[in-house]
Amino acid sequence: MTAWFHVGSEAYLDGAVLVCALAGMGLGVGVLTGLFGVGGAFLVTPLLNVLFGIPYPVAVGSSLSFTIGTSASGWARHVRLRNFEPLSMLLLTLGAMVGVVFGALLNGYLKSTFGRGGSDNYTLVMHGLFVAILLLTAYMVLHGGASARGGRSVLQRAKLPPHVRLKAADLDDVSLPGIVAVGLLIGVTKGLLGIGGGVLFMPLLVVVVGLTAHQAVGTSLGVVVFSSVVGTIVYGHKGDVNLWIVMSLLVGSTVGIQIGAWLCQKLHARRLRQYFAVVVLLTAGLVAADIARRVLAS
Amino acid sequence: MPRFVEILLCIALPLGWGLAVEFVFERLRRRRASRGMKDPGEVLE
Repeated sequence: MTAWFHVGSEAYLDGAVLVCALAGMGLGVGVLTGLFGVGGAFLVTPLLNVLFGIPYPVAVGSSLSFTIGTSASGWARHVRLRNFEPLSMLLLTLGAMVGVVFGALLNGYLKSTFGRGGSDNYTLVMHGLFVAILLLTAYMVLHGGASARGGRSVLQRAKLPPHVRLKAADLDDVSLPGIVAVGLLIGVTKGLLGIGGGVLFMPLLVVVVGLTAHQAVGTSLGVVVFSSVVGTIVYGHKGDVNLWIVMSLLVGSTVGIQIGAWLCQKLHARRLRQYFAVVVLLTAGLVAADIARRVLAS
Repeated sequence: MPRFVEILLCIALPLGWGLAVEFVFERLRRRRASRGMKDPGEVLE
């Protein structure tokens, strides 16, 4: 078995076919990114495990590194368009950076607790978490995007001092510990599962923090870039990031995004949501089927 | 290869790739805009 380049303890990539298959998956995820404007890491991590048999720690670490590439591209564009709120991004990033470390530790804890003696239970726990995340994502997509309800946001009403003013978003009295806590939550999920969380956290930034939808996209992408860097360092330190996986996915997704953007013009917006939900539910079904297969096999 | 170099590559390559892709497509967008063509990216925003 020849590994061209691997950081992990085992060699997974021993053929050009596998690299092409990963690029193919990247292409598929890229089409979804172009079509729906999501990062797709919530699909990448479980599919790396289910389709390619890549252990979850390597799948999560590589997904975090992959997210750096996809979100840096989007963030650069949003920075140029000034679609971000600097202070909230800084506070969210600080929280997310700490959260990613906690998430990675939690992942390590789950692995050492449930994966003892080569047990399959760790994979089953991670599969279970992903099925829950994917079902929640499908629900949120089908029930429409959240929008700030008139008046003050949740963190403006929160009695958690000190309060800060988010100048770019024209928001007064936003709870500083509240913003950091939101960042912490984003980070823990990222560190544990390696997902970007655009679909899940966008409503959080709009409803809880009070940002506009455009600011939420740019701010979220910035948080994702920096927290993914920290996540890559933590997982890379343990040898759980594979550069071949990352670059194969990135090359495929770059082409896929262009195809998705082209397809996007041909499809109706409401249909797009439904198609996206179907893709997410199919992935959840695939992961659930793998759970059943593993349980029956044991 | 030392571990820190591997980690650095795992950060720098995706970051460089992402920024390079954005740079290239931004140039293409501007070229299309200067020719009066519709930007497909507008649909996403």
